[in-house]
Amino acid sequence: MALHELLILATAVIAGLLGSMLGMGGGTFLVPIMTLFLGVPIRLAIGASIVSVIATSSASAAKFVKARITNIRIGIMLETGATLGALSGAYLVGILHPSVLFLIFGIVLLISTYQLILRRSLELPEPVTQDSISKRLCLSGSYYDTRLGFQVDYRATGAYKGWLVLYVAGALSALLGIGAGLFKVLGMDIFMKLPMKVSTATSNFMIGITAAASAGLYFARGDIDPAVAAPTALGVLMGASVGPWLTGRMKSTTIRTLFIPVLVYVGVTMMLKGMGVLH
Amino acid sequence: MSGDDTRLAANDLERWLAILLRLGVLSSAAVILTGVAMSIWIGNTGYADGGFPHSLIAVFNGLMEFKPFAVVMLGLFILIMTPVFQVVTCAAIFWRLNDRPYALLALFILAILMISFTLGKASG
Repeated sequence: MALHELLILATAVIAGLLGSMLGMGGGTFLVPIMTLFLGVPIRLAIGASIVSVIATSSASAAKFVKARITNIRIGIMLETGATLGALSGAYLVGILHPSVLFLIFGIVLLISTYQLILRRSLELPEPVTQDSISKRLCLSGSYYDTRLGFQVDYRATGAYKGWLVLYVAGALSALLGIGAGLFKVLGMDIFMKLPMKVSTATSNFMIGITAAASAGLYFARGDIDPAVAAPTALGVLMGASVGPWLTGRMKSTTIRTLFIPVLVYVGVTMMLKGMGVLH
Repeated sequence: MSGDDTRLAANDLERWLAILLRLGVLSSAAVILTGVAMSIWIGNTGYADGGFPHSLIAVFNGLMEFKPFAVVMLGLFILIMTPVFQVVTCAAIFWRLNDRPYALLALFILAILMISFTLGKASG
């Protein structure tokens, strides 16, 4: 039994590292690996995953927030959508067939990957004219990019679109027990035209909150098993401690290049699962 | 929002959030590790057949009896509550800085979180 826990721990460390570097909770990697290779029942995998999402989010968010890269106002604004989505998602659990979700998830991910590839060479987004609501809510900010070596001012736009994407992300988070950080990062990157590092940092800040919205439900249902969730949480914390340090040393374009194969892998896996090809 | 005010706001908010997040993570990890250490030391989890507590009352009862997995669950619960305190901190600091719109947004999120926890208890 100890070996099983150690394997879960090792998996979690890697998931935590990858997750915090890409602005995700790592749950997207954890659930497939735990269910496919470690023989963990899917409900327990999801429960542990939800916990790990909070762990990653909190651990790396602390460092991003301290470094003033996170845009807390944008995070709070978007989180209203995500938590509402989480409630809706929890409600939808009884109605939607899981394969439909996997399929949708996979398709959207692959479309987003394509868009990311198109934007790969952009280190910083182009200067942006804000729409009226983004101006009214002061969705702008500034951060010091250590890799580029200068202060980057930015303005966000597309607040409505961003909010909608976050709503969907929240619903998916509750349904699949993941952080849906990918959606959040892409939503901020593509629709709101935020710099990649700000998207990643702000996503890290947000995914824990969204996960908490569904974690209460999983906790009460008995889907959070200490034997699974404890090594997951500890492993993810270890991995996530290293992530932000690595991210700070890398260019945004490098981060994007890392993102793309990950997205393709996850997107294809999800679609195959949705179509019934994978168990 | 004047420029100076925003900068002070940024410092305060970010400082407290970073502290809270670190505290939540470290304390939950410490409690989880304690529970794990207890289970190794005692040789069992305190519950038969891979069982574990999954309500606050059950966790509390388990803690009274020093059951290792109850300690682990407490640690996991602290972890789950960390984002809740994250939002409370945001609401409090935005309010203190007279940033009403964002204070209200944060309170809105808090309300949703409370609703989700209550729903959880109802179905659990």
